[in-house]
Amino acid sequence: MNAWGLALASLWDRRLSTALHAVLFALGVMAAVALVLFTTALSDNLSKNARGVDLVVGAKGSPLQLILSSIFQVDVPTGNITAVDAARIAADPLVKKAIPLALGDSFRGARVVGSTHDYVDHFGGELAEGRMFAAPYEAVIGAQAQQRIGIAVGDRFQSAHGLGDGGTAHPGHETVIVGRLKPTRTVLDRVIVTPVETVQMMHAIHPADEAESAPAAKAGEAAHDHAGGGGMAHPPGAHAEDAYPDEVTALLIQYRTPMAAVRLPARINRTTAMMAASPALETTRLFDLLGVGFDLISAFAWLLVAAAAVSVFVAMLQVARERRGDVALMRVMGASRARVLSQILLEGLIVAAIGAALGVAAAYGLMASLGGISDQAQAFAAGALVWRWEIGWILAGALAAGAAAALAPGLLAYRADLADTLARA
Amino acid sequence: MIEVENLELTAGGRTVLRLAAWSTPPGRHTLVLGPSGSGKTTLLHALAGLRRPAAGRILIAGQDLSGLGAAALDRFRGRTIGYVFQNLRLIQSLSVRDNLRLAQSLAGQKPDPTHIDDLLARLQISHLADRLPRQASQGESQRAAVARALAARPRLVFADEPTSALDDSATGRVARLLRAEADACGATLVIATHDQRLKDLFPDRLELAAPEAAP
Repeated sequence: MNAWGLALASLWDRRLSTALHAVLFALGVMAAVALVLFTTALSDNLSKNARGVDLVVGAKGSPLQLILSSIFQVDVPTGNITAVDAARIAADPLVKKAIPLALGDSFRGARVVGSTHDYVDHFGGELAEGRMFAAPYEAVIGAQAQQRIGIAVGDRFQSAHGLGDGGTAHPGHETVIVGRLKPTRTVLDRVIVTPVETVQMMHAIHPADEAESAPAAKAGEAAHDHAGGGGMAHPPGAHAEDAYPDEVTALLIQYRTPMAAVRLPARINRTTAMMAASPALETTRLFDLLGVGFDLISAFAWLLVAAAAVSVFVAMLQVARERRGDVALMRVMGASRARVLSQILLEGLIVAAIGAALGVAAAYGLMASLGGISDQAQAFAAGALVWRWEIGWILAGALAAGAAAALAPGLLAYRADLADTLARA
Repeated sequence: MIEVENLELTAGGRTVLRLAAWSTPPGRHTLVLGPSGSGKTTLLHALAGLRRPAAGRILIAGQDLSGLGAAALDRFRGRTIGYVFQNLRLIQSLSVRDNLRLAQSLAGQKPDPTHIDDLLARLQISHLADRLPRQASQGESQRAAVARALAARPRLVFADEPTSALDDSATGRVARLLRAEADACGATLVIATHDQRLKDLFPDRLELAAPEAAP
């Protein structure tokens, strides 16, 4: 019967209150760990996907929205820009590389990205099967999207208008999957990539249609002029080719020189109808916005840990009083003062450790289940199921709280006058 | 086994007990007899090193207690002395067997399950080994407390008022049990009591005077 056995027996003897305290610790640790996992995964995912993109050029609107829709494939695009304008930017001497994007369609929740081979290369995409697209109405599919949808190389699909489920299909326009990509742990895994022309020909890119799934304010009606009379849907029987408007949604730009960072965005924003947004600036801004919320959650998590510590403190104090006799007995049987102090500290530590272990497990469970909640949550939380060194600090913090809670009751036992206690109790 | 010289014990600034010279040889069980307030418990505490005397010397098994530091004294007590309390003090969260194991562990000894099984069998509480003390009857608990006092093979067993709550027949039984078990384990028994019924069982006695009469 060593110190562990005695501590466990004592905790088991009052298992209800032990469980309560462990759960309190677990809630705090879970919130703190989940927050660390989510924020680090989010910032990893953002920076990984934005790597190599110095600037995004698109229609005027919210810069953050432009970044989210063009790079991370969440949120809706701000609208379209003309291919002529896009070509002029791409030809600018300050621009090293410009990848065009034509967005707005999806297939069973996977976004269809009209682009070039550059887009796939940009994320380091490699073929797992099949070949790259070589003509319109051919597409390659990202690993995760392929797995989720279950479509195979050689299969044909009709993409739907709009970015969510339930968009109207484009009748008669089938695209064939010619290749499947290896996982890259980037946004590429979640999308279907096809030539820009596929999306352009499939339909005139309808800003008004995009307004279907986005608040109307996001796509200014007046700024666009296209066939279809600004209608919410394609006229029945209309062929997209008839209304080919020669537009793209955005350009992903890589600078040729650092000087471009100073001159290009300012020039585009001031002198064109387009908007230039910097992924680095916008993701920083996003984190600033979310930071307040993260700080609040973090404070709440530590509040829970503190509440757990206080409840352990109160319980242990009561236990130490009730068990004065036991402590005295242990001393009579040869235990030193240090031994009875460490015995009580150990009980506090065990409660905190059980709680911390439960909390960490619950946090990873939470992160694992995030993918099932929505594709977007999955996009942000992907790669969250790894160990982060910050979790070590959280665990240390929880254990320290447990030990601190048991310290005062422990000292009570440490200082107790033996003869007095034995005479009284 | 116990040697006391010029002992003076105080509590709250008041002298509780003076003892010029007293000794007991090994194996001679002794009764410390006196009315309440005569300092019996205080004497046992001092002999066990649970309180320091105001003056005088205590030698237990040849060891001068004043020569031991706090931690060394705790260790010495755990190894040398088994204690039976009036209110038994079994740890309620531990099974009877674990109570005995704890005594061995706190005394710094290797686990000795054979000794524990022997003790439980001799005291006829083997069936309670894995039960909690609260599931035992008063008499069984008493025997469990005796077993625990002997678990670490002490050379001395102190019993503080082991019979004050018992009727005559139980008193005789418990006293004989204590003596028999102390003999079986080769320990010297010291019983502190006001219980005159024990007088006949123990020829060796240290009689303490009532507090008013104390010098």
